[in-house]
Amino acid sequence: MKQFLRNKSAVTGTIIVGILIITAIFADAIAPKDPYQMDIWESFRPPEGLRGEYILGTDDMGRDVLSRIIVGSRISLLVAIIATGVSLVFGVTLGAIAGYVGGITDAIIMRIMDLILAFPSILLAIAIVASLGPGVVNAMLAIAIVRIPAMVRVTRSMVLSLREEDFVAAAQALGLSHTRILFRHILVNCYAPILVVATLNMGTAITVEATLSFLGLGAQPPIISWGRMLALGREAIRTAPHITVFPGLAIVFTTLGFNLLGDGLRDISDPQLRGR
Amino acid sequence: MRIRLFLVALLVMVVGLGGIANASSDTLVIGSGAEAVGLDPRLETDVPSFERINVIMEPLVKFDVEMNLVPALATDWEFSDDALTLTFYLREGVKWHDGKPFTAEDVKYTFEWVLDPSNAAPNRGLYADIDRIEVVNDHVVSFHLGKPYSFLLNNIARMPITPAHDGDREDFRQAPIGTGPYKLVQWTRDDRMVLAANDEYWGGKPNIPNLVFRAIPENATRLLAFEAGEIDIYQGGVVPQELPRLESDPRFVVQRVPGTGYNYLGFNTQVGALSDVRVRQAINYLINREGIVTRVLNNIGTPGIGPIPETLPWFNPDVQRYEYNPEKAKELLKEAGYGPGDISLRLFTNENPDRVRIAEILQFEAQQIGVKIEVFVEEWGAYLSRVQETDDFDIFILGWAGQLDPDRAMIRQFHTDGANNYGKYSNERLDYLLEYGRTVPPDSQESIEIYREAQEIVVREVPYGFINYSEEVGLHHNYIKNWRVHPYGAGAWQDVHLIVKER
Amino acid sequence: MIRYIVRRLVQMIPLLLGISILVFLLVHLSPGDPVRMLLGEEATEEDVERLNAIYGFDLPLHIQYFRWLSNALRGNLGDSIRQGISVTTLLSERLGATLELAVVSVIIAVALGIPLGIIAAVRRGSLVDYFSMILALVGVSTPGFWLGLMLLTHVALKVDWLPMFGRDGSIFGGLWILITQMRVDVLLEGLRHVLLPAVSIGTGMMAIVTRLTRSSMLEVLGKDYIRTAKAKGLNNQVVVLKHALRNALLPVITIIGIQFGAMLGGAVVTETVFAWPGVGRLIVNAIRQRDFPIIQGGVLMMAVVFALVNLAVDISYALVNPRIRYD
Repeated sequence: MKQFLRNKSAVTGTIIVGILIITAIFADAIAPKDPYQMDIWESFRPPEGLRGEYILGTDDMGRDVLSRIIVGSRISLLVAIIATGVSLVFGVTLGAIAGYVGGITDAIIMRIMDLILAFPSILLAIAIVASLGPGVVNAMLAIAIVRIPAMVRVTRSMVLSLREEDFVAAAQALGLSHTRILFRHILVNCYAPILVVATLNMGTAITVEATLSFLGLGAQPPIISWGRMLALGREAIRTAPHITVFPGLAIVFTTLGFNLLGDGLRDISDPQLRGR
Repeated sequence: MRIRLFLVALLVMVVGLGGIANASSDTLVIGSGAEAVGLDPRLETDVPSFERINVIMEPLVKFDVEMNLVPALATDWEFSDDALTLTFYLREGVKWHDGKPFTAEDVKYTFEWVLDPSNAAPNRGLYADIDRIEVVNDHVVSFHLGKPYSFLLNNIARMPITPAHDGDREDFRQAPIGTGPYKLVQWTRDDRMVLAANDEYWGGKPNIPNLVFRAIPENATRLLAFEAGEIDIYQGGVVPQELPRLESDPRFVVQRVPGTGYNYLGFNTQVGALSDVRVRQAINYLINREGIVTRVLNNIGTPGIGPIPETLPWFNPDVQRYEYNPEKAKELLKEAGYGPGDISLRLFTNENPDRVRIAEILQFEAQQIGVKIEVFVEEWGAYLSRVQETDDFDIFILGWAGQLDPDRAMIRQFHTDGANNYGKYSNERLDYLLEYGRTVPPDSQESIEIYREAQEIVVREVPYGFINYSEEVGLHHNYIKNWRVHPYGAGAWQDVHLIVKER
Repeated sequence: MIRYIVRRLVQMIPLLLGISILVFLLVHLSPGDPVRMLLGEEATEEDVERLNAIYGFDLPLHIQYFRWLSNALRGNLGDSIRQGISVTTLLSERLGATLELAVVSVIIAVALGIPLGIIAAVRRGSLVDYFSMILALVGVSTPGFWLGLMLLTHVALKVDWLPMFGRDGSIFGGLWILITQMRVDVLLEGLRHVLLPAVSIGTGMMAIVTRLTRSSMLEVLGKDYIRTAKAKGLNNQVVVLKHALRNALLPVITIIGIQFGAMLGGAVVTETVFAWPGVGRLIVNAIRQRDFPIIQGGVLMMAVVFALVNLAVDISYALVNPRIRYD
């Protein structure tokens, strides 16, 4: 814990992610206006500052940009957590099996991972969403699939190195079941790097969601997503830059938060780099 | 040796595409919203392709900027008294870009190729009533029809003529020749298409020696490139919000003209609540057309009324109007036996930003009177399949362009057996009118009356909710002279040889 | 070494087969019909059936696949449904643009990232270190297409020299002309156009390279042999550049390889924003149009290029670090 508090990245990251979580949970209370309320006669109002009616201005349909960014944090967070969660579950399971069982199972799993890795990830995500149909759920699924190989690799390499440790041999000598050994003894010892990768994945998930939504393949109306805000605002980037600038900054800010946190966790968990 | 040859070829490929001068005074650079799919008029279906094709090739007759049919490769034409023969008198002395003369054989070749079912001509249906094409002599050609089809001429205006002696060349689609004012020089797909003036052009030597089309898919980027002087002129996709600024800038000229199409809500008239005409009318009353036109479209376009553009003589100004009126909508729903919360509809659209905005506005308006509308924005391929192949939707948003006559604007969309009647709408009287209308001379009072009644039926029964009529916007620098925006984007550059660049 | 390369190439075969099957299924089982896309909103059922028969889409899936495969093995990836041109032509004419963009992006990323990472590592805790780490973190967190939009409106609009869009000649060609004819204009013209899109794509990668170089350098600088070298009185700069850097670069090269592949396909949106005539744009448009042969061939080509780049990376390991042997 002390290490954590001493690590500036981790603390800053936690603060940013914390802000994001609080914003997402209390979005309705924080948002100064109804983010869905349209008034097309009030469209494209420029930012008016803290004392104005529309602090960050209005969008192409007269909706409050600030409120939409606040509520939009939900979808970003949701995608980050669920997509990463799914890839975590599948990735760790597959990686652990591959590493522990080895042999043909390992080869098959890793070849499949190579298959996924051979696609440029954005292109694969686009192809998956195009065939499943656009929508936030399918976007999450696509992001999850694309991120699985990274989880598998990390888990597998950890398991491979731990498998040879004495305590595993001891457990096997005691006649414990393989499942038990794998989950109770090995995996608990490699949560740190997995956590790091998962945290960094959350950052990536947010940008991928934004890209998919920008292409019209992510969240569908009326769901508010930052990527979709960018997509609809980009035509008017000259006359109303605030519609594209602020959601973009929101994406950068939150991704930054997850990356800082992930970085910090890595520094803490990697004894070689500790203190550097 | 082989390897060396290969290396040389590779170098030529890489080096050969070296810099080509931009936007100088002897080159006109035209911006375009998308790359052409190909340059064979027999195979293409999209506006960006025809924008370019119509500079290289020409049809027999064409629509001018006032939407009158005017001579192009034909100087004159006539229907026989039984309306079963359409004869064209061709322009003499016209030459293909390779110097060979243009004759009636070329006309026969083009349309026979399209009509041959073993060829993959997508628009064959437009010419299906042609039974036989007869070359009377080098400069007279007759189309013999199976049954009268009054609007055939309009379809013929959509098909530039291809050369019989060259049209079967394997790469014709990528490197065609034509009779038009410019010849194709080089085409790097997704980047640029370079053309050079055809000094032998029958309509006079073009004023500007070189023409370049640049494909820039993003509207914002295209406008930025225009303002930076990297392109001289473009039509279509002008960012609406920027219009006031562009119009007040003395360096630029904005031209606007009513278009040939419209956006609409399509209703599934066979399933659920929408099979009740009152529910369709209620939704129709929820469309805030004025708000959409002024704010979403920034005054590009006008509120929609019916299926026929206001500029056509068949347009019926006396049909029922659906002014935005949520109270009226509520009443109609009540009449039909639905209270707040009783109706839930699924609305589909593709990712076209204007359509998405319209969908969101409708969703919001409907929610105010207790009708739930779920919006699904689908990727174009899946969307088109859903609308065309299934009835798995309640409402969809689409648009039509190129509605140049009432037959084209109505029979496919609203006839019971219409190829594009996605909402499965059916009305016996309307079917009769639409079939009969095809056999009546288009310039007769009878034709006008038939289609005015047809419009009344369509507007009353709401298979479509008409949102807005389109408007074409052209944008050019003030040093460009002698160009007028065309109501149909595909014809934008057909008179490009007259343009002058004073710089 | 050659045996190693051959073995790696042979290993690619099942991978590519797997990819081709996967893409084939993904594409053919997804909703959307290429013929309807071609015919557009005015399609009639009769025309749809007629064209489906012409293109062979009415055949069973496995027959369609084997047809495609047997053609592909002979180097024929089929013709685009929509454009009627061979997919190999469509891909090869765009490959140059895509490679150019990727290469320039990598150069920007490496040219800025590695020095920044080294300085940050050597002067750990200094202002430079903080600055470069903040830059790196913001860099990875910024979506490339958004950065592109910002660059267009905030940079290109203000700097006359920078164009708004497109490509103008190849910079490879420009280099050739510079060498053979001592003319720099073509190269400059090409660079001018590639600069902004390359910066939008390269920034993320630069950030990754900076971070990795820094941490890798820190690790190596802590190793005994470096301490020994320093103790032997070797000049600090020589130690850093000659001994530490060489070893520290190994992981950096790996990541460059992986990122290069990601860049090939990940540039899709940026390519659209800048109207760059690349492969990514072609494939995404093909996905939208359900132009099966392009998707099929394009993804396969991406995978091949990606695999080759990774092979090249593994080989360059040996060049940087002669201690690694292949057998």
